[in-house]
Amino acid sequence: MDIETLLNRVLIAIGAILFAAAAAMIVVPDLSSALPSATQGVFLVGIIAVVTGLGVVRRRLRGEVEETVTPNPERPAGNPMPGEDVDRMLYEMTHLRQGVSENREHLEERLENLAVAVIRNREDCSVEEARRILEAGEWTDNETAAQFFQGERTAAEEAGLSESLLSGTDDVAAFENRFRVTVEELIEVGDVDVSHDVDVEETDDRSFFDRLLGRSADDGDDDDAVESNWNESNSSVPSFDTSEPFEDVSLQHTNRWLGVTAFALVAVGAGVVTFTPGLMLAGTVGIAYTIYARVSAVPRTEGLVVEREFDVEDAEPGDLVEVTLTVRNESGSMLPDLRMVDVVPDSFVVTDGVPRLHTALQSGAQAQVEYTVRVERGEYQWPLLVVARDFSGGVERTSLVTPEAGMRVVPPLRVTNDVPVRAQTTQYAGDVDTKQGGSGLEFHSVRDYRPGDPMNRINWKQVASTGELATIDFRQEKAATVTILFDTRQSAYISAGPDEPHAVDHSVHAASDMFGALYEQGNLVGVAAFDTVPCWYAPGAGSEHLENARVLFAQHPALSPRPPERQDHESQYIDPMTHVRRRLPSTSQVFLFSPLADDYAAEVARRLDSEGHLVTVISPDVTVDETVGQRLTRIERTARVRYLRERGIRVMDWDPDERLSLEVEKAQTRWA
Amino acid sequence: MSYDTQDEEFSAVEVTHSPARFSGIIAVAAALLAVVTTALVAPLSAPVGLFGLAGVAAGLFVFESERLTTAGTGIVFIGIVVAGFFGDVPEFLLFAALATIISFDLGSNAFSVGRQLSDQTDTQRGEAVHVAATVFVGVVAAGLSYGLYIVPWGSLTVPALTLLLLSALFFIWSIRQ
Repeated sequence: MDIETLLNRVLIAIGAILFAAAAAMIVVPDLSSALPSATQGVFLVGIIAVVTGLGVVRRRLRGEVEETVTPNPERPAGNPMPGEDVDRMLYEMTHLRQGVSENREHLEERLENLAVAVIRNREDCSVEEARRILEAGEWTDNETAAQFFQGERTAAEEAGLSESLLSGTDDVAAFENRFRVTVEELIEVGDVDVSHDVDVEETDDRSFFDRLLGRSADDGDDDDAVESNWNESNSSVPSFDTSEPFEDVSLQHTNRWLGVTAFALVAVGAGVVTFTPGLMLAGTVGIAYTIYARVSAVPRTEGLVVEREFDVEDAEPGDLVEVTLTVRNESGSMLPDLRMVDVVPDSFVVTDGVPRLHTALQSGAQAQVEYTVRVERGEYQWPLLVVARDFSGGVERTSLVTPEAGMRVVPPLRVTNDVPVRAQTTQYAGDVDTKQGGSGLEFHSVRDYRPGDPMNRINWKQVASTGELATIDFRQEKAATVTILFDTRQSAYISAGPDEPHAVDHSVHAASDMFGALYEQGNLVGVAAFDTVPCWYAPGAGSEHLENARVLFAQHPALSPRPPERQDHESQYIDPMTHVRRRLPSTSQVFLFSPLADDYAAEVARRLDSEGHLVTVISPDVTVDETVGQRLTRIERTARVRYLRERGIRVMDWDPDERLSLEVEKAQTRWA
Repeated sequence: MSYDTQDEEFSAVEVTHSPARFSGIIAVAAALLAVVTTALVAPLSAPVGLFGLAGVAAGLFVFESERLTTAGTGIVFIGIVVAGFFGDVPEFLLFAALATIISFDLGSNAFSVGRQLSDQTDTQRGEAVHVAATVFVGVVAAGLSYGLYIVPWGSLTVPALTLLLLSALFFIWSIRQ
């Protein structure tokens, strides 16, 4: 750094001396006679100028302009689609030739477990029996699919491994093909709903096409696909999490004038070489702009006053809120080039207008921008990204200005309709019919009279006919303890498409309504989530309880619309269910919200059931069926649903496009 | 359960990042002016200039490639140098060079605005101020150097010119650091 400044000073000094000498020569022409006539010298200098100019051009064409990359906060967050891992593994194997053996092993194992589950379910047999059928290939007529699980093929292949290393392509492609055929066969055998058939015969073209279609969300280089991004991912601003009202991010030279010197050097040089005064004159403009680019003043963005207003005070999730952003320049000097992007939170979607503005503000002037967002639960305060440049644009200052106005979006916990609660109850009176006799409404039984029974429950007809006292028992109505349990692990943050809400959003929306209904029915309702962030709210009653639950739905990090991976939590290898299991009251029934994206979720339901809790699983179905991976995930999920139902666990297989209330009604008639 | 995603399906607004229109149009217009002026000086240079102009326009509005636009501006400028060889009309050459550099600046600004903001953003005012600043600086600089050019200064001998040029070179080098 020091050497550079020194060099700079030396260059300036030499330039100044030369300039003074030239000026002296112009004023006193006799001086020049002291020097030898130097036409060649002039020529040489001209050539040097042109060469230097070309060097600058090269640097410009090579060099990147450095500027702040702004985020695209308008777009919704991109969530992985179910089955993406499988597609990626296949892609890695066939196209990148990475981890062929590991991926293959994993896929084979996964498919085998699935096949066993499907066969077991269909044949209604034990796991061993299913495995035998699978290995014998008796489960299907399709030879390729049957062979997939048969042991001798692997041995033959291992023998030919060295061979296949040479002609590796065919081997991997053949595996992919077999995999595909087997998945289709399992759909057939397992009787899984898919919207269309895939022709597995013309595999190669089709598979590539499929993958392109299916890999829309995760591949950054796939430009024509629907792009979605979290605020952080594509921006050069490292983090938008700030609590400061004003925070400087960077101050940099943009280099955008790099290359303008070339105009000067080439023109002047060419002018000298060819003795064209016009070109030399033309070159002076280039020199002027070179100087202009270097004369810079740091824009005083700290004098910006930003105000944000919302047209709705108490927004609920899903509401459209109009945001008015006002920026006023109170710095006392002009801000000639202001580029502003309002960094709308990830979970919000801008539906109208754009939260950006490019303007220049005189001291005291103000500008406004309006846009509409669809809001999501949570408490938010977000910054405005201000990229300010000076007149020439040579200097760029990036800062985050956070206005005070925050937004809190709390679900209303509306009461919509009844939720079928199962007969695991507390000692408190409530709405749930129990099997016990006592006072109530619905007839239960008639028993012998015991002293102390209330008179209005004596069966007078029996007394009249036989003369013996008898008492009528009604079904007792008790309150239940219900714990709403969410699966909010990373794997649950999946959505049916880049523009769709993820499964956790679906779950929390449905559950916040269900909470209101359960509460209204007089039950004790609690909330829990299994995640690395412990979330536990013990079942209770009372209006305070309801209010606390609302806030919890809105603000608890475990129920956040952002996947845990994107939050700053240290991930730990602990069983996420530990804290829930420790606190769950033994009499509580459980409403488990989970997309059933992996076996763990199903296992949780099964274990809770075996511990004596009555479990109802509400599972938003976010699986799709385009690529082979997505189809595989759909079969897996279907198999999990069947596995749970087999064990007497109620499962509401809910298509989020439909209203949950309809699904509940359907389920109720089924369970009744 | 009343939460119904179907009822509330409002999709996200489309955001695209093509170069800003206003700056882009002025950049092309400036390049066109430069080409026309050089063609007046020396019609022979017109094909070179037109080739560059096509590059500027295509880079801005068809391929959206900043590199192509910059290269186009460079070719327009080469057209000016070529014209200078054939006909020495200082006023026209000065004007053409000014127009080219303005086109260079506005072209790169159009891309920068497009990248950092978007097509849907209201960028009119910000762009207009930038255009005004660049044109103002250029016109003042060109006016000054033209003024110096037409005023007779003693005798500009070859050695004096050499020294002047050398000093300019050193200044430019020091500025570039």
